[in-house]
Amino acid sequence: MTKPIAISDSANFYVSAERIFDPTLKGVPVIVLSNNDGCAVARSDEAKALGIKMGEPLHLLRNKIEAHGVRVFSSNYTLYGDISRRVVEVYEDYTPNVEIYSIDECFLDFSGFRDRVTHARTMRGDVLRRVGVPVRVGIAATKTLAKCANDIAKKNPIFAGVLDMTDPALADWLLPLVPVGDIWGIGRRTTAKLEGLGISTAAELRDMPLRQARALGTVVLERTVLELQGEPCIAFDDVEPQRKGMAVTRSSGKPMEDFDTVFQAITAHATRAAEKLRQHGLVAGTLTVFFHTNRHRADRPQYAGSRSTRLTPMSSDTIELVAAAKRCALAAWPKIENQSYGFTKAGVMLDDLLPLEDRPRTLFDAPPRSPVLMTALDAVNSRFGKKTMVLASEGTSRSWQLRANHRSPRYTTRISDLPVVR
Amino acid sequence: MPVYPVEVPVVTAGQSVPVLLTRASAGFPSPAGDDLEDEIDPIAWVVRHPTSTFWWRIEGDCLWDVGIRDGDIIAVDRAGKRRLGRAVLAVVEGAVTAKILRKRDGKYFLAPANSREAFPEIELTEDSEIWGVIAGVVRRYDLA
Repeated sequence: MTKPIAISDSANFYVSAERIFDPTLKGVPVIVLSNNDGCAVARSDEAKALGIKMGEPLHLLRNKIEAHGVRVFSSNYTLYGDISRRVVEVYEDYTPNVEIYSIDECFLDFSGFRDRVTHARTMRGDVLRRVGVPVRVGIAATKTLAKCANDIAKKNPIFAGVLDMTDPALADWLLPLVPVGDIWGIGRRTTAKLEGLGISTAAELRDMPLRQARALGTVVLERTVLELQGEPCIAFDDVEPQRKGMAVTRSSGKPMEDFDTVFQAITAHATRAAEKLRQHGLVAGTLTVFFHTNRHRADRPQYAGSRSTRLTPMSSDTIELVAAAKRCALAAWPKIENQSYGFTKAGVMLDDLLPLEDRPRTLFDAPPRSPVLMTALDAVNSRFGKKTMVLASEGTSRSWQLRANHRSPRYTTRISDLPVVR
Repeated sequence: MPVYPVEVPVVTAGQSVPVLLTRASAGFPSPAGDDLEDEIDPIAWVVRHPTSTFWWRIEGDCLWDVGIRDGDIIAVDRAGKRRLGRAVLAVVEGAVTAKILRKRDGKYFLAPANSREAFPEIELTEDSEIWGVIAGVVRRYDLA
């Protein structure tokens, strides 16, 4: 058989991370909110049992929260990132190849281990013991099948968190139980199309003729069918695919009304984007700025502005990016006089990304103005903490900053936030 | 360039700054080049298992006799061996407590270590859980 691939993920990861340091969260309903405290993005099993749905807005949950004493947290990505790093470190003791797929999911190369289930169980126990979060492991010949196995292990306690589906007989038994919409890479529209053809389970999709799959949903669907048949089409990556674009966007805690406030937010986003570019050794060729009002408040004046500009020469310089962002923001600013708007979201997007050394050069390129300054800026901010040194146009009030009224302490990354034991 | 002898050794205040390896392009290669070592990092010495070690702050003096005091920062290794006599972090009825793990008449106890002040001894039940083992203490003194 081909190389077995495992995917290990932590269900309710954010909740599990919060529970490490706060034992009072054990056995009670807990939810973690999205950026800006908008809606529930992670729910403990107890919260799920109360019928709280993924993505349900906070303001619709008030009654349940009060009636059942649901514990509510803003997302604390600093904490989740640190816990995620530790989990990956444990995985690295169990496989030579880890592909980080998201903050709580990793593909693991499981080839070469004879007793994969025991190996996975030991790993699972070790993650729980050393870091304190429960994980689930699905093992199969392809990534898509591994995802299915993981999903089944998650939903059926009999597997105790580990399912090795490399045995085709086991796959034959289990795949008819997996709804087609739960398969990795199958979206809502494809699900509807497939169900129209009478294909509603993973087993039925696996047995779909390849040509029909291709006609219905392009090569992507064909690839999924092949993967379900056990033929790996999605390679095990150990190299990060090159990014083609990136975006830094945030909702604002309270509506931003004047240009200065919006521009402060945009400066902060452009600064962060430039920082990310430099981290990856990239330069950008196009910069887009956008901002808009709250679309769900039709009773208030609506406006959405956006402008793009070319960056010539291509750049990753904070000062140049912020200057370009300012030109865009000014051009996109509403021109109607005596009309004010409450902007709730602003963002900066960068496209045409290239490695610094591959950037096109023109005859008239001035020497890059401030690589030394940027290096110093990054060094200061990495040594003394984020936002120690910023451009003045970012302002100091940060009134545009996110709402995060229920954030837990940054237990593992700030000395002032250390958990306390009595 | 003239060379001036130094009468008294010069002692500078403040932190030491690690110096980059000298790149001797001509003449005499730095004889220290092969003997350079990293600076001592006592934190790395305390934290033997970085993946499973987390920092906590101590409030109260129930472990005074074993040198752990109010305000200290402690490294707690979740994967540390739960041996009798070791200082551990335990979760009892939803609260986290730092105590010494002891055994008497076949029962496990979380015992304080303070001969001057009385702290309760807690029996370790099935509902309680050892969070980790204290791996080290970090304390600094006021300089103001």
